[in-house]
Amino acid sequence: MIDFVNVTKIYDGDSEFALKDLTLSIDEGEFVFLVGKSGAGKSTIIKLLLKEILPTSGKILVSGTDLSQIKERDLPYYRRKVGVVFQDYRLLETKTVFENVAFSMEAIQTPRRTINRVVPKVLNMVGLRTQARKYPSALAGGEQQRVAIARSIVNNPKILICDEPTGNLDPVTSAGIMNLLMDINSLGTTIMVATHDMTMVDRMKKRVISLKDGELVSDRVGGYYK
Amino acid sequence: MIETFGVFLRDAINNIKRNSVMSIASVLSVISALIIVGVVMAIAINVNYITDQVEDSLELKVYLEDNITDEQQKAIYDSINSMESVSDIKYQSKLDALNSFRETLGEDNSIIISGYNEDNSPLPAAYIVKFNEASEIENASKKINELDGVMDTVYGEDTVKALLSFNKFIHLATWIVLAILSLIAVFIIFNTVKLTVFSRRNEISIMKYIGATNTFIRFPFIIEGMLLGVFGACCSVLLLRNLYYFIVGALAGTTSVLPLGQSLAPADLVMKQISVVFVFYGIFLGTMGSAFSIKKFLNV
Ligand SMILES: Nc1ncnc2c1ncn2[C@@H]1O[C@H](COP(=O)(O)OP(=O)(O)O)[C@@H](O)[C@H]1O
Ligand SMILES: [Mg+2]
Repeated sequence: MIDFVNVTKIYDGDSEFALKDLTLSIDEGEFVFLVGKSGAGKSTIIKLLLKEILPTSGKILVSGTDLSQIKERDLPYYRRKVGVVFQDYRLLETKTVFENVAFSMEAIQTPRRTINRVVPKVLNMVGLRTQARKYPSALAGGEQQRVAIARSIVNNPKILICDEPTGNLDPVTSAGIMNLLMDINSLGTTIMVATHDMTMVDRMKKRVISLKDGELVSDRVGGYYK
Repeated sequence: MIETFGVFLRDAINNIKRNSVMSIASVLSVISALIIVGVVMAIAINVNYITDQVEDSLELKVYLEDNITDEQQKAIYDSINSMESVSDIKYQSKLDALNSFRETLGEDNSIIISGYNEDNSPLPAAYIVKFNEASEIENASKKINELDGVMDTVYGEDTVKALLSFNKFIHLATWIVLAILSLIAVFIIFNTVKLTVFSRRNEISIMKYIGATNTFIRFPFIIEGMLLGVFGACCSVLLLRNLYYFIVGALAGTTSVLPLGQSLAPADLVMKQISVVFVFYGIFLGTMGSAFSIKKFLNV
């Protein structure tokens, strides 16, 4: 599903490697953690996957397609297959919960009838059925992140990428978010979560890809320390 | 497609309402740009209108020799009549000329020429020719002067030359002022819309992540810019209309501000021309401003 082949990234005007000769492969339907200290290169991997930035060298394949072959005008259609969630939620403060999720469908020109049918289902799934008419500012952090997740899965992406999704949340709320991600994963969506929350990663017993200074240091199922 | 457009329109209107401070700023900049442009246009329209009046009153007198033959006279008439820029030809016989001169002198003074009648009139017969274009008179005058049976041709040479060069100057000045103001207006709107776009960079960035196409992302902004432009144009038309009526009204009492007794262009004429230009110009300014601005923010 996702293949990095000898990927190196050096940012413009930077002499240090952000990523160094990284090769890794993630199968369809997998749930993987991407761990490492701040500056290890986690967000760089995510930005490369979204084709927000280009690798300095190496190849990135998603579903067999080489990202460097995707033309500028086809990029939006590729992005529809990859959902993304950030640490800071990035909700539109002027729209309600329902509207924030519906916005995602409007942006790809989904008919209104479909929107009205699908959005309540997804809100139900993330546990926000009763909050649909509230504005983000009236919600707790965990609830806001649920809205962001609902928004990123409402168009049925094949892959869901989360960059520090629980970075601003307490452990209990974080566990709830992780359970939600597992639920989504169980429906077939491939999930990649970048985080530096070691306790949580240890508890989840999933595949963990560990980075240090842009280099792969370990890749195994189970805990983070051992 | 219609539904999509509905979403665009709804978004644009919502955004205008939400960013009300920015929107008001945009509309104000459209208004101020258009008002200045409108004032310049009104001046240009009036200069044109007045020039036309002066042009209409210009005439060429073709004096005929006393011993002219009928064939010669017919040839002269035909030659004048075949000129494209000629709008009117009147024949003034020797008697007409005498009578007209009498009238000019008035009852008291006409005694001087009381001895003259049709047969011994010292005044020649003439064709009085009017032109559509003041610029054509000089050429026509030269040509006609060479015809057999023509004694002389006379026109207000100085008036025509002054008029032509004044007209040229005003046209040039109008275009220069319009060009400069348009640039300034587009620049103001560009910057205002840039702020509007900037205040919504979050939304744009999210749309890019979701996979909205650039066209889709641009559209609401373009529509927003267009709406702001049209709204600004309508406000300016109303303001200018009142201003123009006020000026025309204020000048109505005074006998003649203008040198040759011409009148200002009627308000209807001026407003009709300005309204049409403004709506298109407003749309143009708004769209340009938005289009340039959004371009900067699409590379999320
Ligand atoms: N836009 C950028 N320009 C230059 N250097 C960057 C940029 N983004 C990240 N980096 C550098 O690349 C390295 C990896 O950063 P990042 O991928 O953000 O790490 P992480 O997400 O694991 O904290 C860091 O050394 C960081 O300073
Ligand atoms: Mg990061």
